[in-house]
Amino acid sequence: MKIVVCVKQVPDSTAKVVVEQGRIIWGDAPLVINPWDEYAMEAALQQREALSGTVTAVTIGDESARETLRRALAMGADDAILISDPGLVNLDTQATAQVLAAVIRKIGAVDMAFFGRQAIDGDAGLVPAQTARLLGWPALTLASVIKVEGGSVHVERGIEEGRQIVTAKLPAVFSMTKDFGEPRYPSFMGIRKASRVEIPAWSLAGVGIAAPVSVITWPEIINPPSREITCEYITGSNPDEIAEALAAKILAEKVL
Amino acid sequence: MGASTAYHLALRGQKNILLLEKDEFFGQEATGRCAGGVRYQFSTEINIRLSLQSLPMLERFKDELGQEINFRKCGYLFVLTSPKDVKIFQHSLELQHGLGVKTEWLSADEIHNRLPLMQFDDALAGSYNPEDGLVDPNSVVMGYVNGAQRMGVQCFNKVEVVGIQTEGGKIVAVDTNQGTIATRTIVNAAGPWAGMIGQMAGVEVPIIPYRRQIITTTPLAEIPQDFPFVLDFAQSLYFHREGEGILTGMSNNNEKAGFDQSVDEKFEMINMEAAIARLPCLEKAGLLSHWAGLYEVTPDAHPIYGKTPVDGFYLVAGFSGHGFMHGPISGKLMAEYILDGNFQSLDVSMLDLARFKEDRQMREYNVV
Repeated sequence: MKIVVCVKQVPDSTAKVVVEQGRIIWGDAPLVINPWDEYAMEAALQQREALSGTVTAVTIGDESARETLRRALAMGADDAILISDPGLVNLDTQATAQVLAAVIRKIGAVDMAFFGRQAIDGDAGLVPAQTARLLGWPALTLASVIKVEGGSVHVERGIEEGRQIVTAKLPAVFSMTKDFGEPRYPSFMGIRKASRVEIPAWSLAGVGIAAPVSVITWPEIINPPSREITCEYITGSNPDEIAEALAAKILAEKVL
Repeated sequence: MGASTAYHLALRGQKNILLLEKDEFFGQEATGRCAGGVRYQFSTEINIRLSLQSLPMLERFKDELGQEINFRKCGYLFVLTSPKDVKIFQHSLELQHGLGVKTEWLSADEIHNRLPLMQFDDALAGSYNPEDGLVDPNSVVMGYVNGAQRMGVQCFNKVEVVGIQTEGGKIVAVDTNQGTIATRTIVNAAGPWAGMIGQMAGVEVPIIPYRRQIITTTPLAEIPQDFPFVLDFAQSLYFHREGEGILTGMSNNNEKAGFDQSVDEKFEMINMEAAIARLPCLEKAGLLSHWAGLYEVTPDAHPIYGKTPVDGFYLVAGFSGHGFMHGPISGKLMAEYILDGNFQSLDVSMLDLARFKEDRQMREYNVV
């Protein structure tokens, strides 16, 4: 089983993201692997453990994105590829999907391509389906359970109305939700291995495509309007009294 | 340190106390990021005496403040691998015994027997005190903050001190990002930032911030419940049980002074490799979390207590890695000093700011 996991480097989820002079900034918060992609990594590693094979982590980014790939390697990926090129800037989701589809084709004979359900910076959640479309593969999005049998896969999807069971032929694209189960922590052994791995960088020429053209531009970026929040402390002489006062307040405010 | 000082001032009946914290929550910086270790094993008499007063205060903490702080007496085991350290620790042991601290001397064989999971073939000897242990830092901070608030102390978050006003060599006000507060008394308990706060009042405070970092692991079934706080002293490498896993940290002797609190992942690898060499079962552990915090280091690795050249401007900082464990007694001592004019519970007058200019420094050896 040849498995690819597409991961993205994003600002830490605790970062205070603001817009200043039309630019999105997050201060000195560290860049980390997109948390949703850790679920994708976990799903991929479990498939490898069940079916044998290899897991390759892929990301698009500059040199700093190598750290995100090292996190994937430390979790257990067999290898990693950085897609880095001056032509890869300000990509929209369909341009990103063009690159990732081309990379997956170039890797060749891939059976399963995993994504997190969305990235916590853009929050579009479109890249998995767009990549699947370009590859001509089934898009099994919002997956929480995956079972491979022969050349087919059974997937349980979490949708608004409930659960949906779908079956498809491999190869396929999967986007994972946290219902799949908690991702594993990178092991000391994995971190040690990841620190020593040489991560190859592929340019657009190496992938064999021209720079994709984004069709969506962001003409203006603004901070959301600030909200006035007042905070009231519920006090009391003991926990029971505080809880009673809090419950009364919740009912009075019609929160419940 | 600030919360303890505010609490003890209020306990003595002092009114109109304000506790100012620049962060969103209390105890998020040096205290909240420390390993939580508390110990009697020091190399100078004053540090041992500080522990002799401070650790019992932590033992009484729940009774006094109603806050559980999870004091776990796992013992500190210093493992010594150099003849020089053996000699110095033997001297410290005598000093500790003379002050009533019952630290035990361990042979290399005894260390191997006590730490069967660890690789200490190069151990020469060790010192162990079963009364040393671990306490939850955030619980202690919140115990003091809540206790202080119950007695009328006003505790503010997100209030950053940006300036200090003096007139004729006396404190008259503190400027914050939320406005100016008129006062005749300021206690600088800003830990790694104490030097910056000192500068605002025109006082040179020789406290330098240094980054230290910590790793915690996923559960390891092999680690026994009574696993002690183990220190490989020569490497400044330590381990203790944290939850069902291990917490390990190591001091980077090449760390440059500064306020950077991001994790240095290159040094983390060095820490990890050294930790695996000592505790091989760590190899299969997962990295649960990691973080960095700041030590507040003075030239002699001892704290600074008391007055400064500016009247009404007091200092309690520079604990060089021991502030959490000495926080309870230090707050009490500062309350005594401010209200009575001298230290009642323990004479720490030799740990004044002037010692650095008067060549009265003393060196603490047991710094990790």
